[in-house]
Amino acid sequence: MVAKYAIRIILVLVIGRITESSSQSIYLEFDHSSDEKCYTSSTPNEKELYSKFSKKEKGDIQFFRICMEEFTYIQGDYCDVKKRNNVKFSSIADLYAYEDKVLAKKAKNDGVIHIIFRSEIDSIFIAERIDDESVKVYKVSWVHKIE
Amino acid sequence: MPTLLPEDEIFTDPSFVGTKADCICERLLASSEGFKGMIQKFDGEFSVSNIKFSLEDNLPNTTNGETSVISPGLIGISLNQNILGGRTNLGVARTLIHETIHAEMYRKVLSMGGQVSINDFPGIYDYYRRYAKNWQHEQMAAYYVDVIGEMLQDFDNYSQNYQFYEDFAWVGLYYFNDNNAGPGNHTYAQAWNDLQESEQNRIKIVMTNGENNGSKICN
Repeated sequence: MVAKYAIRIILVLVIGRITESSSQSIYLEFDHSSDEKCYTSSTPNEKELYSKFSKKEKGDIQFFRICMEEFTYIQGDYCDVKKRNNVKFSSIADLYAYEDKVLAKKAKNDGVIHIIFRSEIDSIFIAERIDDESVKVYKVSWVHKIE
Repeated sequence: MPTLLPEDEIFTDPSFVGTKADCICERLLASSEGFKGMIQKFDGEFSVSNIKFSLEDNLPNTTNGETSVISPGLIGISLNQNILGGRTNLGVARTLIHETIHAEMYRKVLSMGGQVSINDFPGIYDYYRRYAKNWQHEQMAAYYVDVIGEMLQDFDNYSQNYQFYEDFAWVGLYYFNDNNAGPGNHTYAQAWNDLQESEQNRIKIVMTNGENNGSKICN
């Protein structure tokens, strides 16, 4: 009987670990005071540099923009202050790679295309700089958009 | 509280109401049956999605507008407030049409819960398989340039020959942000690459003229 329970507990722990390792969290650094720029262009000859980070609030939604990507945080969703050193930051390029991974996982050879909206991609966090040592982490939704 | 355009049950954000963009949108609805028909597909009573127009003040100057899936039931179209005043009415009308076609493509995908077979929407199926994340611009460049041209001609009361409007429809389509390659990377549409060089040169002149010359006041 005891052995049966022990096996069950071990199985639960092992499965838990496997699930944990196959999911990924993306933490994007957000520093509103930074002078960093991104560039975009609408024609091959027209390039424009613009602020990498911008933020605004509409009602109970906060909009974070990093380059051309936008993320929304809804008041009441997960948010916490963490030590900066304890957060592993990803870049926007990492986020795109993560999206590709999710899309590849969803693709099946079944005669149907599976179009995933970016808002369906889970575990994306904005880590907003408070000071050199701490960040405020928000669980956000990645806005699916096109120009 | 969002208001409704009188012609259709579409939402307009307070940032949009009473602006030049609002005026051009209403003129488009009044002049183009094609545009009106597209908008009516978002009618709240029958459609899977509603559409909402707004202005944004945090877009780079090279971005005329963008379309976003706010939720499965709401698609947002935002125009760049910072450059709106300096743009021609025809240019703004083109952006509204371009973004509404994006919204229509999203609406179709949402209506299938994101899973599209060749029997549902053959064009979307084909272009997604061929171009992955760039499917919308590639499909629009290949199949919607004449649709946009016709709507623009209606809007502009046939002031120019049809070719002018079809050429002008290429703005935002011949060259676009490459979603497969990531931020800051751009690509030319396949349909653009398939054109003769002489056609490309003619279109480039029209695109510049249409964005710079013409009325910039809507009333």
